[in-house]
Amino acid sequence: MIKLRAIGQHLGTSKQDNIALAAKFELDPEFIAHKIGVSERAHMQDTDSVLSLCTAAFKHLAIDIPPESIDCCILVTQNPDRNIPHGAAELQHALNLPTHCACFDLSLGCSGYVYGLSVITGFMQTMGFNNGLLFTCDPYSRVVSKDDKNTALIFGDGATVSWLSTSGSGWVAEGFDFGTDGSGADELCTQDGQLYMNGRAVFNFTASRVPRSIQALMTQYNCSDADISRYYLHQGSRYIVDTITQRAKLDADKVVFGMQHYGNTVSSSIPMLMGPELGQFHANDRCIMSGFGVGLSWASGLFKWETT
Amino acid sequence: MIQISDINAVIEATNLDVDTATLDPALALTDQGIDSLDFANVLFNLEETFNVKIKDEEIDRVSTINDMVAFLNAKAQ
Repeated sequence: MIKLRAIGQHLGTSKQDNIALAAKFELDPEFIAHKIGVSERAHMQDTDSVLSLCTAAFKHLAIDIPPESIDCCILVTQNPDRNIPHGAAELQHALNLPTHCACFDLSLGCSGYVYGLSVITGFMQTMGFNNGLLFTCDPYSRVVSKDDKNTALIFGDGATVSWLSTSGSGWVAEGFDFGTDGSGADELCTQDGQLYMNGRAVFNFTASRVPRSIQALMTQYNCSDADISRYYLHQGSRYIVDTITQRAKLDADKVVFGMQHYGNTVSSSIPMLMGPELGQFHANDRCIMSGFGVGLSWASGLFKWETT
Repeated sequence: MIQISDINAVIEATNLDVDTATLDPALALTDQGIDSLDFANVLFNLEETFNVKIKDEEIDRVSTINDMVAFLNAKAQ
C-alpha cells in the first residue's frame, strides 16, 4: 500500500504586491483581493531555478529515511530549467539520491499533481518500490507578461515535494477520474514564449468539467459529501474555487482556500494546501483533490487516510 | 420566446450580489455592479440554460439584458 506521508514546500521569496497593480489594470482592489483572491504573489528570485526551488522544498520535507532509500523521483513541470536533460535527473544528483533511483519528468500543468500521484503510486506498486518523491515546480513568472491583465495578477512561483512510502500513515489513493479536451488546448498555452489565457474559455471548461468529475468520482466510489473531510481544489482563483464548490454542491467549510499570499502555483497548488494539514487526520478519513487547466485537462482523486 | 424574466432568472441562479429588480435591461450588466468574472458566469449559465454557444466574437451582442433576449431568440429561430 503506497501512502502519501509528508509534503515539503517552498515559495519564491520575491513578494509581488497585487493590490498595488489595481490602478495599472483599472481594477477595484476589492476585486483583486476577494474575486481573484490573490493579494500578493510569490516570485522566485532571478538567481532561483526549478532545481533550487525543489531543493529548498526537499529541505523542508520532514523525512526520516536516508536518501539512499529513495527508489524513484518524478518532477511535474512545464517550465524546466532546460529542455534537456529532464529536471528529475538533476534532482537525483543535487539531493544525493542513489543511482538506482528511477527519475523522470511529467509535462502537465495545473492537473499535474493528481496525475503525478496516480503515476507514482502505480509505478511504485509495479516495481515494488518502498519510497518515492513527487516534485512539482512550474515557475510561471518565466512566461507571464507583467502587462497581461488576464494572467499578471494570478500566478506565483513555488515547489513542493511529496514523499510516498509503503510505511507509516498517510493518504492512500482509492480512485481517480481523468480527462482531456484538447479542443481547448489553444485557450491556455504559450505563444512566442509568453502565456496566453482565454479567461472565459478556461472558466467555462472548469465550471462544466470539474464539478462533474468530482461527482462522478463520488458516485463511482459510493461516497457523499458527508464522507469527505476535505476538498483540495486547484487554486485557479477564489472565484473558480467558489464556482466549483457551488456547482458540485460541496460543503464550503471543507473546501480549502489558501492562495491569497502567493498566487496560483500551478501543479504545486494542491500539495501546498495539503502539506500543513497532514497531521490532523484519522483512520478512514477521506479527501478529494481535483486539478484542472492546461490541456485542457482535469484529474480528480479520492483518498483515504490509512494508519500503520 | 425568451423574455427578460427568463434572463433575470438565470442571473438570480448565478448567485450574484445583485438584485435583479434593480437592473436596467437597457444598460450593460458590467455597468451595473456585475464584474467581469460574474458576467462570464452569467454567460456560461445562459449557455447551459438555453443550450446555445455564445462565441467570444459575439460578446458585444449580449452586454445588456435586452441584448441577451434578442440574441437568444435569434439563435432559437
